[in-house]
Amino acid sequence: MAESTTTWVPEGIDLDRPSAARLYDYLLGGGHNFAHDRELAHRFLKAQPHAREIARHNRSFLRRSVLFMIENGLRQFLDLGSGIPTVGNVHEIAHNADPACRVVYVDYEEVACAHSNLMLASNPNATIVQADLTVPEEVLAATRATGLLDFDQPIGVIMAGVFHFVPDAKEPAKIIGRYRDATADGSMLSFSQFTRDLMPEEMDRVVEVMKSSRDPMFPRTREEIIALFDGYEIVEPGIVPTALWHPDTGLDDGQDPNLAGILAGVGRKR
Amino acid sequence: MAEPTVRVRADQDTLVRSWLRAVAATAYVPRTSQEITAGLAEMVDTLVAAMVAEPFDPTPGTEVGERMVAEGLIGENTLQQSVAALAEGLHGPADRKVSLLVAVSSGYANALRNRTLAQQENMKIALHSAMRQAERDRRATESRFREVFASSAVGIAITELDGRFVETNPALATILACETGDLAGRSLAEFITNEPDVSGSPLAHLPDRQRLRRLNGETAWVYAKSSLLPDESGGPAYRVTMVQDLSELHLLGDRLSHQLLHDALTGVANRISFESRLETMHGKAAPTSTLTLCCLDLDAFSMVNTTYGHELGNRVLRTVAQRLEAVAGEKAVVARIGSDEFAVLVLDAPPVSEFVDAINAELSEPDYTDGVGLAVSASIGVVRAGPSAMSSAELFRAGESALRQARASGRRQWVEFDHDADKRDRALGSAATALPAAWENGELDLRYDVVARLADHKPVRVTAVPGLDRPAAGLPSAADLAETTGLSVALGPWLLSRSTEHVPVWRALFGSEPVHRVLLSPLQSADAELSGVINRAIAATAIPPGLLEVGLHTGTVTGNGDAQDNLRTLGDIGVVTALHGFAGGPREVTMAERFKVGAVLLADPFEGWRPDWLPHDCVQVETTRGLIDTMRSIGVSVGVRGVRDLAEARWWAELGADTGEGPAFGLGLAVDDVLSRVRSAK
Repeated sequence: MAESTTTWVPEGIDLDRPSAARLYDYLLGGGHNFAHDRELAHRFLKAQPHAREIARHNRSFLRRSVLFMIENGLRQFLDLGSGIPTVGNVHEIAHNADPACRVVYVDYEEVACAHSNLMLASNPNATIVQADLTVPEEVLAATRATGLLDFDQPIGVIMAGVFHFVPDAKEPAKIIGRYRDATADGSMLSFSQFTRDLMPEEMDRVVEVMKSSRDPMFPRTREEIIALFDGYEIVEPGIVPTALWHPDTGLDDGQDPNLAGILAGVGRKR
Repeated sequence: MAEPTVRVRADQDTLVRSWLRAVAATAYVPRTSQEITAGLAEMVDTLVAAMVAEPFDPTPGTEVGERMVAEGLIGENTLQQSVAALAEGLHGPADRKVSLLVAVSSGYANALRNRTLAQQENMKIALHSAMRQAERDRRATESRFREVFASSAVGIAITELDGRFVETNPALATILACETGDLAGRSLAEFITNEPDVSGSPLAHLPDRQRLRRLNGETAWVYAKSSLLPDESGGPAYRVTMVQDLSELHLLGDRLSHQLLHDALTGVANRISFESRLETMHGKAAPTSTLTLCCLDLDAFSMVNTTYGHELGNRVLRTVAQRLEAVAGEKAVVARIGSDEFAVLVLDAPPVSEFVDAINAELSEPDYTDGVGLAVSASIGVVRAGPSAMSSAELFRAGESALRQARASGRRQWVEFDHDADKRDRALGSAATALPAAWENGELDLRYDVVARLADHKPVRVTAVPGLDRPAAGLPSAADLAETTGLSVALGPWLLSRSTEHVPVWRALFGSEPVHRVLLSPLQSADAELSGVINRAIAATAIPPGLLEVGLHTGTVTGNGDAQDNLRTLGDIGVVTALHGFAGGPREVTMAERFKVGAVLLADPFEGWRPDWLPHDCVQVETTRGLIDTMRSIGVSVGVRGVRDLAEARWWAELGADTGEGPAFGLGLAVDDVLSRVRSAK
């Protein structure tokens, strides 16, 4: 039964290797995923039983951080590693608050891009760029080419749940620094990523599971994450579990915030 | 009548709160808790109403299930938790509660299924477009590659790892002199030969150079570079070899090196290789041996070219080269060292005169082409020295110096290198070449020679001359030096325009006759710009033209149309004209008459002898007297230059000459000196 669902997939797309984007979609209840992705998701869930909560919390943090940036006057967003459009996308959140907001999504995965293109086809204020976020020059050039963002005005740069896929070998601090340097003063960074700090055993198991996917994972400590905010002033309450960042008290009452598994924060370019 | 399902409003709020907890724990809903709560409250209202509605209808339950999906309450356990919360919080008949919750579940399931199908439809479209894009990219890449592959001038071979061709492009087939189809099943290695390289090849320094044996047996030089083409897993799959044809380059290189050492026209050595062969022969020569170098310049060769055309001229040059080789023998080196200059270098040659005679005899034999028999003669400079007496460079220079002397002494002459003559030549050459710099630096000055009436020795005019501040002893005048380098063409206008500034001074001094004379060199006499220069000089100083006397070079005027034009134009302007270097031949006299020149200045008829020492009735004196009479009879005044002293001046006056100049009256004087001398003469 699991295999039969993929018979409608056209030939020529590599679905043998599960992708983090489709895994995330599945964990959030989406249908944009395949047997291999779900199989990986089940192994992920076995390693980290709170995976769904973690996904929910991260998605929720993204939403709250975008709203926070809008409250702080930002009206343009660059969402790096946006993945498959699933529930509560940045442009939906932003346009709900102010339809004039402009959003550029960036992802390197073909299916995620094709999907986003479909979804954004009729939306003049949002688009997607297919590029590797670890090559800032390419991303920035392609983003400028869309003409959607004004780099002289502050931009909300979003790196939600994506840098745990960037190994230290690629020098994440330098990558983030390039985006920081390319954006105007007053720009903000919304950042979240997996950590071992909260649930070390589960995290180790997750790292092991993800080794077989297209997207192996590299958790970072709180200190390492703070270091990545170089050049940014981290806003209150600092780098915290996703559930504790400007929480929506009505929804998250009574849950253990440490189950979030992900540390998050927002910084303002100094 | 049924009991009220929900007794108090508080119960309903409690249900909404417990449902919210269930949702929050199981699903991500991208809205605020207030927004979610409001939605849940509406759904609770709907369900509560359905529980008490008469007649009972479970349809609102289906709608609630659908709405849950629409609002994103779709976590994995959201339905289960929600149903549990509703089962506990809804009050009323069990059967109604069951059918209502079944309707919720069923509506939820259907909506979720439709949602998933819709998402998968989207996914499918996305995948399709991603794939189509990939396919488009791939096709574009493929067609670009095809284009490059097919049209490249570089041969490209894609081979298996064992070297067998998988695919080859047309350029490679061309390089290998075959059709693309001929290469199927073969490998590049079959075409590579291991023949040794030609030493000194200009391509020897290139790495990766290969020699290929073409299918037609010819050899081709190629530059080959290959790289591995990885397959998808990164392992080597194919080898790509780029083959660039160097044959043309190779041939060109060979030709260039030949051209570098040989004269293209005659095939004998050129100047560069002659110098190195001279050096080699000089270095190997035994101390007791002698080296004889003849430098030849074909006489009047430019006439052959202009009369018979360059083709025949080239033929003559080839013939000369062959004949020189024949005369000089196998061990000699024959080279073409200039356009019509040759050099012959022989070790231990026969005596110089014999050798030169042999060359002249060979060259004077006419070469018949198209009915035209052409023989050439040559001026020859010869130097003969032991290897220890001169270096090879000195030898060559001495040969060329001797040739210059031979040329200067007329056609078909030969001159053996003369150290003293060479020294003079070199001093002259360096002075002449230094002159333009001296002029630029303002070291060239304006001087005057005094011209006196021979009858009473009274100064009547001056001749402007260029003078060097520090004249070198034993060298010709600045004017003569300027003539050897061509500087005089520029010097003439300078002299004219500078000196005319002084005309008012001379006018005040001498009166109304022509008071100021400028003598022009052969080059200046034929200068097409001359009349313009004089017109400008006259206009700039606003002097009557008749105060100016301009002397042209007689030999130039008789032989050159431009100079005759100048003479005529100057007369028209009103300038007094003169001919200097006047030898008195019939043509010269005719010129003087035709152009109505005011004066002639005699070329020294006595070749440096003092005339007053000559017998009165000797033939030169008689002839000169006759000439002076003739000139005066046609109204031309006669001037004499180089008058040494007053005795000579008196002699000339008796012979009938009108004016004299020279040491007797003052040469190369500054303006002030002229003034004081003239005043003292009064």
